Amino acid sequence: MNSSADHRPLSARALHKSFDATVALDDFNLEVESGSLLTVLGPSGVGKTTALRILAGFEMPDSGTVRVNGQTVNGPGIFVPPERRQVGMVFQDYALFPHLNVARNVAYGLDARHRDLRVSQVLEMVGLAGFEKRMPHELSAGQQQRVALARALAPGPQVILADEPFSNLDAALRKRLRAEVRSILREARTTTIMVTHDQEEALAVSDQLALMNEGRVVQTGPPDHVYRNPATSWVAEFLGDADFFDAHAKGGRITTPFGTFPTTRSGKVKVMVRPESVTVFPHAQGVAVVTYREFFGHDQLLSVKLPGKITLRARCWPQPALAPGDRVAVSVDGIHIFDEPQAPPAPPETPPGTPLPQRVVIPR
Amino acid sequence: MGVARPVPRLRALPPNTWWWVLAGVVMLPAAAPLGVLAYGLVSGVVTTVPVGRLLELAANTGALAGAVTATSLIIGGASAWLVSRTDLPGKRLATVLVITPFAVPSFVGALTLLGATGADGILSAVFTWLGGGAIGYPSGFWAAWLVLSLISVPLVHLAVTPAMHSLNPSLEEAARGLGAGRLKVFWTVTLPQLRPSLTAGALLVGLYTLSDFGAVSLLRYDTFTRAIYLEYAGRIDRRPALGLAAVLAAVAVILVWVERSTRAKGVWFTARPRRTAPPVRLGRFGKVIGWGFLGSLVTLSLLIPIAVLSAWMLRGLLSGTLVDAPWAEVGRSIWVAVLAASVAALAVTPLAMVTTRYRNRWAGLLEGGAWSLYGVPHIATGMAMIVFSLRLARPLYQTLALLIGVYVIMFLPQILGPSRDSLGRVSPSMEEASRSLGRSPARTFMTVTLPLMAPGLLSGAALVFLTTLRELPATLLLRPAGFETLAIRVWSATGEGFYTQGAVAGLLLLLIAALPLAVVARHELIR
Repeated sequence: MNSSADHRPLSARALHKSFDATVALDDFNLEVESGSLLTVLGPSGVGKTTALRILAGFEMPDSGTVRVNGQTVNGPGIFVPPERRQVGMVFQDYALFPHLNVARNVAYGLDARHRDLRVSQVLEMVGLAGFEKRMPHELSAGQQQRVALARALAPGPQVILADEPFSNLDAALRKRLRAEVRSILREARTTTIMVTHDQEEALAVSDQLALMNEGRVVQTGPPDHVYRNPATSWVAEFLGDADFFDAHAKGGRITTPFGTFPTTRSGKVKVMVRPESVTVFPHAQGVAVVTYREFFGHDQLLSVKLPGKITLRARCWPQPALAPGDRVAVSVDGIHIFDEPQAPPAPPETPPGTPLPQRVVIPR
Repeated sequence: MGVARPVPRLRALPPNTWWWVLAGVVMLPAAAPLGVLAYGLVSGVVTTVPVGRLLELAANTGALAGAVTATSLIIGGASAWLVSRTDLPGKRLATVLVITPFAVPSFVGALTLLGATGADGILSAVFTWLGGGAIGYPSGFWAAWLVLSLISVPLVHLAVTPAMHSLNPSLEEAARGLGAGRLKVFWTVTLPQLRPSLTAGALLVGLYTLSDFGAVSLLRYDTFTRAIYLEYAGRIDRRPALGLAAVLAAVAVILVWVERSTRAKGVWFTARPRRTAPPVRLGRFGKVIGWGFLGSLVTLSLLIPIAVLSAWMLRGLLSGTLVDAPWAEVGRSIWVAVLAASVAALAVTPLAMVTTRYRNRWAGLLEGGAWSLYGVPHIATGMAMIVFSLRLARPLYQTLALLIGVYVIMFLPQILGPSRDSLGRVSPSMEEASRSLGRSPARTFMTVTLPLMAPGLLSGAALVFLTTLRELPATLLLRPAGFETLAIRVWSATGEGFYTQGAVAGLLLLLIAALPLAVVARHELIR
């Protein structure tokens, strides 16, 4: 009765949710394509977990609709309880049943038919064959995580939701496990929605990113696209290091101390530069002065001061060793321009701005 | 596996609402005794008791409560220190021995004292054989003080030990580093850290003494509880008894609330320190003194009672006066205790669910109701329920159902604590995981929540079993006519001077009580 053309594994439209005085979700929209891994990324407290819990059926939205495989599970007068949504969940604390062993945890959501077969299939998939009789407390954190994943995968849900799945692991394990989980999900051809506040994690594992701020999704797209074409200066800053300065566009170009860039805009604009697109080299007549240096071994981060009160950071090769006070020349491999004052959040999937992968070297 | 037929949102109550409804139904009967007692307090009923009599009872009760509290604080504090902060050998054994008298009901303690002394007394016989004279019958204040103090020591010991264990050695070292001497450190750093637990222990003992009926009635010390029973048994007019019960209940409820509020403040102090203090080295002499102290304590509170009761039983067997063991009473005691424990386990589940999962005003009200009733002395609750059943629920008067119901509402907090502890370890995400794996709320409860909650329910039920077994005053007032339990048997036999019969029933009672205590001890007492 609620069928529609929309047969995406999961979609949410215009979700609103408030807790007392605080607004958690404010016109939240999300769609996920079959078989892809979508990451909802945003700082703490922007409503990511609330959104996930509404999709799972643990919270009721104030308004809006949620569809699973085209069927409405949240909507006017409709609420399908979590047990009838076919939406799997991997919890931040894994929520393994402490009184059941691994096999019985995984079998929990299965019917009697083919149960044993499915359990060994899924445990094989997550690399835990042979651990059937272990109790959850006898497993390492990483193993517990994989059991939680196996348990969620076992009934073959339409979508798996994962709430900060790697946040309880130490840094080294996290990196290893996220690659593993990623390939398990690929192999299982599962559609997954993951929530995290960790930019690096989101960029590394996702097919699609949905950036969330103040209760709504502000931009979606593949990670590299979103990174290179941030819809707003907030997105740009949240996804990576970025330096901003004000400039004036006139006659189709912007003039900066490190060169001139073409633009379609005019008037006051905000210019964003990422440290990795800045190169510096020692030059006695260079326009910039090094003010600060952090050395990381594989690279160094330099802070340089340019005329017009512009400060840029440059992430570059560890050599040459520059020190504060050194005069340097600066070349910037592409800038990004935002209107100033900043426009309201653009609708998702609109590639704004003017990407300029154009190398401009200032005269020596 | 077709997805999800949509259902209208409001067709059924959401599952958590059912828990609230059930919790309300469980706590509703608790309103009956509280309501009757409140009525007794605010209406003219209290005025049927002369003011002089009220003051006399208050003075007697207060003196006993004060003396027992002070004595057990000193002894229990010392035993807790010995087993938690020193290198005394055999600490586990010492712990078990010190807390076991917890299982001795006060009327059995009184029976021991009466059976040991007087012309026929066991200790008198020993003394006479040694060439001394017989010991006279103790009664009144000092007799009640001795019995109740010995029984109260475990309460203090249990209340103080966790705090002793978690004393933060850094604080004492910091004080020493600032130039304070040992004594000054004890008064200014150690004692303030222990104060919340000492206060809690003191209030527990005070409350216990205030409510005790068995010892004071057998040893003839005139306190509120004894007066209530005498008024009830000796008169047609029930108003003076209800009036006294209302006053006593009010004092007890105030004490309970004071105890609860100090406990909340004590939380900071019981946080586990990152390292534990090294045990105090006692030395050989100190160890002898330490075990001498614990040994005397255990002799007085455990060995002598068992020896005296056994001697009376032996005497009865030898003289042929003991013909029949009270098997019918054993059966009845176990039966009511099992019933009370089972019903309490059923009743506590919704209460534990709502008070663990929801911290709001309603949960507070339900929990507060449970705790208030827990603090009301049993004789007052019994009195209130007599009045209630006679006036408003006549068919329930003197029925087993009413008796079990009263046990359950009186002892609900005992099972609520451990149930909530174990329920608190079930994270809501486990239940959500079950739901998202396709299981209904009911199935989720049965397969996830209940199995994880079971250990707490079990040890709580064992505690209710134990308490029901040794409950005297409410049983005395509310039991069906002719319904004799072991507790009643001990009390009436002792009151009439039939120490042989009392001793046999008392020994059987201790034996049966030891079983659940073993269960409880594992989960609750020795942590």
